[in-house]
Amino acid sequence: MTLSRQLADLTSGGSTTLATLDDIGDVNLTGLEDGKVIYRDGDDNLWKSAWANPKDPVADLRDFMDARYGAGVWTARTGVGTGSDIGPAIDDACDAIRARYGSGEVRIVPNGLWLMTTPPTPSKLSGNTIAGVGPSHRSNIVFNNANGIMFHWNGAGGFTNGGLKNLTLFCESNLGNSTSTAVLLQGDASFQPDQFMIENIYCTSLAANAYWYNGCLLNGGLRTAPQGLRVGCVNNYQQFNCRNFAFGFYNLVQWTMENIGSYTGTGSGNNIYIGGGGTASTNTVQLSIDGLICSGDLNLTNASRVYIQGSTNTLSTDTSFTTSWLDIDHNGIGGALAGSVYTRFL
Amino acid sequence: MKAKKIKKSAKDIFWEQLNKDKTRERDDLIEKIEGKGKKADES
Repeated sequence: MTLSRQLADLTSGGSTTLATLDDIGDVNLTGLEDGKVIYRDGDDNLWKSAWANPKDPVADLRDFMDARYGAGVWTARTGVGTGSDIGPAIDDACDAIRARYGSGEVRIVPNGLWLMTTPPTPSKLSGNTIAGVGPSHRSNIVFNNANGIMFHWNGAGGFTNGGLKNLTLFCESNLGNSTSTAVLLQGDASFQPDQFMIENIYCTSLAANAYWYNGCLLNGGLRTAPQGLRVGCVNNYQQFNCRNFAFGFYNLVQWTMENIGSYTGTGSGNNIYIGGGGTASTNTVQLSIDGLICSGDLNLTNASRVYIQGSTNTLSTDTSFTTSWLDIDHNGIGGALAGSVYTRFL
Repeated sequence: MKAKKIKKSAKDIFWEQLNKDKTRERDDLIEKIEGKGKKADES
């Protein structure tokens, strides 16, 4: 059977035998793993196998683990701190996407627990989405780094957009009181990772006594023109086991959030901060949050046009928080409220 | 003299229950993934 006939069969919904394709001689099917597909690599003029077409803007992490460590050589996390490091492979995937499309998505398939020791490079992540198979507890990554930032987007080179979705993120069980941060969106005076989506994130720890330092920090404080970290959403983000704060939102402009919560932290680790730098161009503005649960202190300063509906253990404010709407069940309030803040407290 | 029993407010009960449920949720996930005996509370 000729190659053209085989391809015609395939494109018309038919099939061809792998043995015959093997006879063509430009693809090695020996040891082809169950589930891999064959694609045409025009650069090498060869048929090759992969988990997903690596020339697509949606990359499968396993292909870049194969390329970096060798097919059949790398492993998922097999024990505390052991397993192949996915961080460098995520960098490789982002490089491949950047070269061909500018931005795209790296798919983290369910594979037990993936281990990340080296965080992906912020400038490579920028513009790209890291996505599991959702909504959560399916694609799991364990961060085995006591003082790093697991995912940091910085918008370098003007690559805005990107996202983080459908993942469960764990602090490794032996890290104790780490100084690590799970998620950071923070650029510089020129670039910020604007137009961002965070969705279905369950961020916790693999041991009750292992703690993140910070959970999720979104900080546009370094850019004043255009102002801040601009336009994004956070939906369904549950943050556990922090010891400094669970969420920090600074100089955000035009963000919406829904169903976010902080739990099981130690010290100030359940706190949620909404604020800014104290000037019009560095304060948070136009932030809307529905379904907030703060098991610590919800701290509101240096922000305006903020709407919050939810529950917090305690609420702290001062008069730098203005022109906003609070629909909150709280168990204690401290600080002064500006007259332009409309409240419905339970 | 018998100590006076302090009645918990509805809000205290809400936060106590929330904390209990979320701790259980976290520990159940750890147990599911790591197996029994790996919870740090027991380590």
